[in-house]
Amino acid sequence: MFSESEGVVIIAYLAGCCLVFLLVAAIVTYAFLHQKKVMQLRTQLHEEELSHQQAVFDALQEGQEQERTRLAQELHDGVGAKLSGIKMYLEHLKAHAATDTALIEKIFDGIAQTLEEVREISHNLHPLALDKKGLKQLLLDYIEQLNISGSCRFDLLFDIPEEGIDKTVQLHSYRIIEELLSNIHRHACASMASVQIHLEEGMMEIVVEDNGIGLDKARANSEGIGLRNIHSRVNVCRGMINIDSSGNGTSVIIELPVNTHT
Amino acid sequence: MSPFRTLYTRVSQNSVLLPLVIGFIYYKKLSFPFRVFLYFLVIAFFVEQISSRTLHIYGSANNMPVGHLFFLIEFAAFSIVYFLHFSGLRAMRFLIGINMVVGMIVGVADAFYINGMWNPPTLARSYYSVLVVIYALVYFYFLFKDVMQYSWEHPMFWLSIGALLYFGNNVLYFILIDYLIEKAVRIEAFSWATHGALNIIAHILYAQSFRCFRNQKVLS
Repeated sequence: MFSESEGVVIIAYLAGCCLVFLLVAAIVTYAFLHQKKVMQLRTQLHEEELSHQQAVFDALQEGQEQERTRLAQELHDGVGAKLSGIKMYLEHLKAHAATDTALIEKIFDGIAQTLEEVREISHNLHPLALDKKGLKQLLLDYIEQLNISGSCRFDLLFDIPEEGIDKTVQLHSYRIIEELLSNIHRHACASMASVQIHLEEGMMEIVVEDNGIGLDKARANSEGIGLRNIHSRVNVCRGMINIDSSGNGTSVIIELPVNTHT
Repeated sequence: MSPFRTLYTRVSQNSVLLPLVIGFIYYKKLSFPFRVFLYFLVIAFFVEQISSRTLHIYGSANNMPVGHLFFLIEFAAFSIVYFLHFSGLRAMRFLIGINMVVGMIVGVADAFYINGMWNPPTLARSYYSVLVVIYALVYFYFLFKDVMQYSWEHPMFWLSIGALLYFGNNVLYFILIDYLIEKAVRIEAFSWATHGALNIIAHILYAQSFRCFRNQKVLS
C-alpha cells in the first residue's frame, strides 16, 4: 500500500494532528483546574478579609467601651465630686443664712439635679464597672425605673448563673436589653413587656417580648441606629438574633455564647 | 464533488456567520482588538461567499489569487489582535511587528515565485499558522501565570483556543497537502474533513469570545 518513507510521513502527520489535539485538551484541562484554584484563593481572601473586618470591629468596640469607662470614671470622680462639694457648702449656707433663703434653695435644687444627671450619665456610660452589682441587679434596677416612669409593665425572669458569663457578654447583653426596653418604652405603646434570660445548650438565650404595635418589617431589617447597634453587638459576641413582629406585639430572641472565646 | 462534501463545505464556509452575529449583537461592548477581529470575520464571510460562487466561472481557473490575499489578511488580523493584546510586553509587540513584515514577504514570495498565484499558498499558510500558534501559546503562558484571573471570563482565552486548534492543524495540513493528495488520497480526505470541522469549531469558539463581553469586567 505505502512505501516505508510514505508510511513514515503519514504517521508523522497523524501523530502531529494528535499532538495538537492533546495540547488543546491539556490547555483546556489546565484552565479548568486553574479556575478552581482561583475560586479557592478568592474565597480564602474573602474569608480573611471578613475575619480582619471582624477583628477591627471588635477592637473598635473594645476601644469604645474603654473610653466610656474612662469618661464615666472622670465624670463621677471629677465633676460629680466637685458638685457634691458645692452642694455641701450650700447646705451649710442654707442652714446659716438669714436672707435670700429662697435663692439659696433654688441653687441647691439646681445643683442636686445636676449631680443626679451626672450620676445617671456616668452610670449609663459604664454601669458594671461603677456599680459592681452584676447583670441581674442592673436589669432589675433599670426595669424598676421604667416601671415607675411609664404605663407599660416590665418583668424580668433571670434564670442563669452570672459567674459563668464572660464580662464582655454581660456588658453587651445589658446594652442590648437596655436598647430593646428603651424602644418598647418609647415607641411600642405596649401595656406589658417581659425579659427572659436562661441558659440553653451552653448559649445565653435572651427573649424580649411585648404586646405593642409591632415593628414595621422594613424597620426590623433596616439600619435604624438602635437596631444596628444591637445587630453589631450580637455579631461581636458571635451570636444570633431573630426579630418577629406583628401588629400584636414584638418578640426578639437573641442567643449569645456565654464565653466569647468558645 | 459528492452532495455530502458539498453540504459539508457549505456548512464550514457559512459557520463564520455565528461569530459575526454574536459579534454585532455585543458590538458596543467589544474592545478594540475584538472589533478588528470582527471586521476580519466580515471580510472572511464575503471572501468565502464570493470565492465559492466564482470558482467555476473561468473553467479550470480557480480563485486562488483571492485565497492568497485572504490568507495574508487573516494572518495580519490575528497579528494585530495579539499585538494589541500584548500591550505591556514590548518584546512580544516588536516580534509580532517583525513577523508581520516577514509574513508579507513570505506571502508575496509564495504567490509569485514558489507555489504560484494559481496554487494553494502552502508555504505561506504554514508559516502563518506556526506564528499564530506561538502567539496563542505565549498568551496562555501569561494568562496562567496570573493566579487571580478567571480564565473562562476572558474573551481572548476562547479566541486563542480556537486559533490554536485551527492553526495547529493547518501547520501540518498545508505543508503535506500536495504529498497527501499524491500519495494518500484517503488520508487527505480525512485531513480535509478535519480541517472543515476545526473551522466550524473555531468559529464557535470565536462566537463564545464575543459572548464573553456581555458581562465583561476585565478587559482581555
